[in-house]
Amino acid sequence: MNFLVLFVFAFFMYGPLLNTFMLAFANKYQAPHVLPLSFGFTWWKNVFAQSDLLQAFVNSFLVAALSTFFSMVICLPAAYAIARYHFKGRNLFLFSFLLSNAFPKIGLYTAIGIIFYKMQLMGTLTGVVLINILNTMIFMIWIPTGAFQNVYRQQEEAARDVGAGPIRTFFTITFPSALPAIIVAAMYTFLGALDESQGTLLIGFPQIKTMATAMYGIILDQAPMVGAIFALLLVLPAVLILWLCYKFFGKKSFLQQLFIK
Amino acid sequence: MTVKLMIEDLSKKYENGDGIQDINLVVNSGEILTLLGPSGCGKSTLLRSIGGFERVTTGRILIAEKDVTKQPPEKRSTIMVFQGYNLWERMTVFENLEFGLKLRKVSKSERKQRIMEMLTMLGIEAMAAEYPQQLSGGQQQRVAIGRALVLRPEILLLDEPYSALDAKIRVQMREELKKIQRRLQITIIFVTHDQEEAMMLSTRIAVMKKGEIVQVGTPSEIYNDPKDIYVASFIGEMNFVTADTDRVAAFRPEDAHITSAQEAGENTYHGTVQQSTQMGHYSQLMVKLEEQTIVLFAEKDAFENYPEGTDIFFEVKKMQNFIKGVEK
Repeated sequence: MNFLVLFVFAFFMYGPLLNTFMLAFANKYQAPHVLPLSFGFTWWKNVFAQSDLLQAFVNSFLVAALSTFFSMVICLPAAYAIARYHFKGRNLFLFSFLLSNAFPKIGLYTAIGIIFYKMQLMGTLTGVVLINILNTMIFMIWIPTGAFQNVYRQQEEAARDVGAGPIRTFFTITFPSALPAIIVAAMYTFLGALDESQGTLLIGFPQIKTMATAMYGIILDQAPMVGAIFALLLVLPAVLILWLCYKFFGKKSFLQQLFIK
Repeated sequence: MTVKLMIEDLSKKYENGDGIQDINLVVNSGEILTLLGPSGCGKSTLLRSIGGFERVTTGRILIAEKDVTKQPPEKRSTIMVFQGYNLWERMTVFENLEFGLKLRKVSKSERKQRIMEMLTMLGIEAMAAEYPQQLSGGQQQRVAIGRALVLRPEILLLDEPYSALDAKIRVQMREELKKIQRRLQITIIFVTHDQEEAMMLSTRIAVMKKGEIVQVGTPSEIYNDPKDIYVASFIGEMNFVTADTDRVAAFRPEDAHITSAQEAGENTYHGTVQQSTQMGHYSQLMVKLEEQTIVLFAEKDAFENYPEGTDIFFEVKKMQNFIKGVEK
């Protein structure tokens, strides 16, 4: 019985993945057949020959990298402030980041879209990066806030005491202690931005095309093999980054980093 | 004797009304001054104000005749040893000591020499490459003191540094601190709630209560001539007996000696022994008078001669009077 449950679960979990994998390396695939008629790299060549798809690949990483970087620049000081200063409405402020994620996204984007039109940010890289930052704020605020709270204030005071200014104190004492958590937050941000399609489509289309938004077109216009290849290309960096984090922190502390105090 | 620290009319008020006020204090060079008081009396706030961690509300702080009231901790020549040591976990013992020296742009060879000298003096030179978490409480304490002393501060501030140590190591660390102080002739301000620790370490003690300094004096001044009931009861054992309606008479347990009904004089009291204990090299008798119970110290065998329930006469040789109601 247990085995059966596990089997069903595994089937649902890995079935689509296997199918995608199979499709990506199929040369020929026709409807009544369960398995492809022949395997090979034909469609890979096809994908890499389409320059706009390649451009989407580059855009994806550009958007993800920029979003992560600016999200850190904006959110880390905020996270530090929330961790250190118990101002009025602090919890409400923290909670508000959840709210933006709780709203139906498309409604939020439409409202933002109107503002972006006025500011002429539609179809620009800046606009797309901004919309991605909005999405990732929750990770970049919540996780580092927890991490900064775990650094004792007196550790910072001790550094000030021996002669370090506030900025040096932050970078020599506070930041290194919170670094593992910040890396995890950056990872979430990066992967989240890589995956984001709704906002990017609404704000960036048609000028800025990422892999995630290109998917829509591919599903409609192209062979299923192209979609599968794209899916694999999207999964690849995620797996790579997760594996790196796993290696970097070790199993135990990596899992610990996923929880906020 | 030169003045190292001068505090004038200092106050620090928190939003909730707590804090310190009307603080005037002079600390001389080479002194160990203890700020003594129960928790919440403001002694830590005062120490943190001296270190630059609290923005004071009014008043001035002068270190070596220089006004430092508005300066942040990194600009002051004071170094604090924190209650929880606060060693930096990501740095080795050596790096913990080195950080401040690097900031002071001390050359690499001199840094190494000064640090090893300090670690040797503290007996932890073998732990230079270890991380703080790997050390025992006492060793961490030494590193914390080393990290402060290696920077040769004008004033060393210690915030209840021994509270996390067990009794035996605590006594040992006190001795060590005194030795170091004698050797380096450094000025120390020490915060504690432990009156025994204060008596043992201090050149002078400042007794604090509810954000104010009640009395400043040498340990023997504070012990023999306490200013009010509060100081008298906080330092050492003190017995209070009612003198008249507004005054209370007080005496130390060792200032009374057992006598007999025949020899009863002016300051002789009569009571019943309630409890009689041998404390080692002396006996402690709890005696019930008409209204109060008081404590007497007597010679080693006294507990045998005065078992519980016996009548006892004792004469007080040194008595002090205090005004009632000083302690709110």
